[in-house]
Amino acid sequence: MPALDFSAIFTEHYRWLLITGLAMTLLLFVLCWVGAMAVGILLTIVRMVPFRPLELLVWAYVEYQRNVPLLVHLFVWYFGIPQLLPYSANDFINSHNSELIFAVIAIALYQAAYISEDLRSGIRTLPKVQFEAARAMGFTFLGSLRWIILPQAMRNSLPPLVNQTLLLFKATSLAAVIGVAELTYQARLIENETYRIFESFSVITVAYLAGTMPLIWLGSRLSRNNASRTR
Amino acid sequence: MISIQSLNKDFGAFRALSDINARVEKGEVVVLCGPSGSGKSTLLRTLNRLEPITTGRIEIAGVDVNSRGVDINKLRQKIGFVFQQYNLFPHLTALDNIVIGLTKILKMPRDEATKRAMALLERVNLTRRASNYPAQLSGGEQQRVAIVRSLAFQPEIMLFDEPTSALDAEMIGEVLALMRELAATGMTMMCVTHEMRFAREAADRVWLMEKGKIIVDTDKAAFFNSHPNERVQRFLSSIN
Repeated sequence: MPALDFSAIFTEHYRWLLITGLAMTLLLFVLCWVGAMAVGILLTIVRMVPFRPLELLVWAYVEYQRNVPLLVHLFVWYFGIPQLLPYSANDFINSHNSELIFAVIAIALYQAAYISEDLRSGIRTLPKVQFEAARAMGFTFLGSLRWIILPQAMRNSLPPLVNQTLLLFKATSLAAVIGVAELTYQARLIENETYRIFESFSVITVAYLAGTMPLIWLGSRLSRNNASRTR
Repeated sequence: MISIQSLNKDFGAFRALSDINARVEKGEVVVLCGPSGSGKSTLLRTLNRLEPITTGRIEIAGVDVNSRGVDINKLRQKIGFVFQQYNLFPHLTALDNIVIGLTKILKMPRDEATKRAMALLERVNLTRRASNYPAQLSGGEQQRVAIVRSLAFQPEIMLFDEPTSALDAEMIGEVLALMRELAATGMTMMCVTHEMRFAREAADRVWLMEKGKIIVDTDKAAFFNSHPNERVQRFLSSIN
């Protein structure tokens, strides 16, 4: 029977699965975004220290993250890394939702590489004298970055950062393969039980769109704010 | 206040500053002039260590600027530096350009910093511009904000690196007026400039530089009143 039947996947049980899936997707997104931003900013700062080995280290990190698929990173963290950890660490992680922890680490570290590249290009467009002016006032190296350079770099990098944020939001769906019960995972569960495949995936498609559209809106609003300020 | 001894500065194989020996006393206003590429800006930039030196010694208020132990950030707070391109921070309002240094470097409470910043803006007649961003200000207004941004730290020395070179003619006057006023308060000042008007009116001494050397270091009167050195004459006639 080709007709669509959404009521089959909107029973109380499946509604609950979808809602918890959505909540998990949002949680993953927030944790990954905060982690990726923090690590991305750190990488950017480390890369600005005029010391060649550090620069090479960050370069190697960024290339490793960018040139290996995210799915592989997820597998390495979820299946590979625990083998290297002591039992006590494994016990702790296993009793604290290990799927979520490793998914956040893998996705955040992966996106951080891209964010640091975006910030770096944002810094490159700043005149070098901005940094000099800050240092001449008496700002420390880190103070100059924190108060003068990074805020401007963030604004310059806003379009690519919004883009990265969207990619990150969608990338959370990959966590399904290591068993994080987020939206995509729940949709697969539901279609497996109900055979309502199209219905299941169209519902989460709408859910993803409902998540990304506000991000796009927020991004363009921030860009407009910026533009009116500096011109 | 400033003492420069046997200072040399190389950029690769190029000697930008060559055996500079000079002193600036407290309250003196020194104008550095000379053809472009003669090392004026480089010399100024070595004084607050924006430019590292190759050999020699610079002392500011008795402190060796280039010694390892010196807290350069602390020292720089005592040395105001004004750039040719103003270099206000474009993401901050005129007011916040001044406030940020006070709150983040001096750790001053925000309301106290705001009060001091507003008083400085008032001094240069820019209170109505307090909440404008640099891009909304004229060049002359930006440079006046940049000058009081340095003054907010109550520095002992003010260094000016061609402060009027990027300005339209009608805005040069307002910046020079502020600098004259500052000189009159007894501030120790060094100014790289082609504005001989300012040198005539406000300077105590004039240094003429050429090819990385100070070739003439004399008081203002001697400089402008038929100085015997023919290079002074050549310089004066070249800029008029």
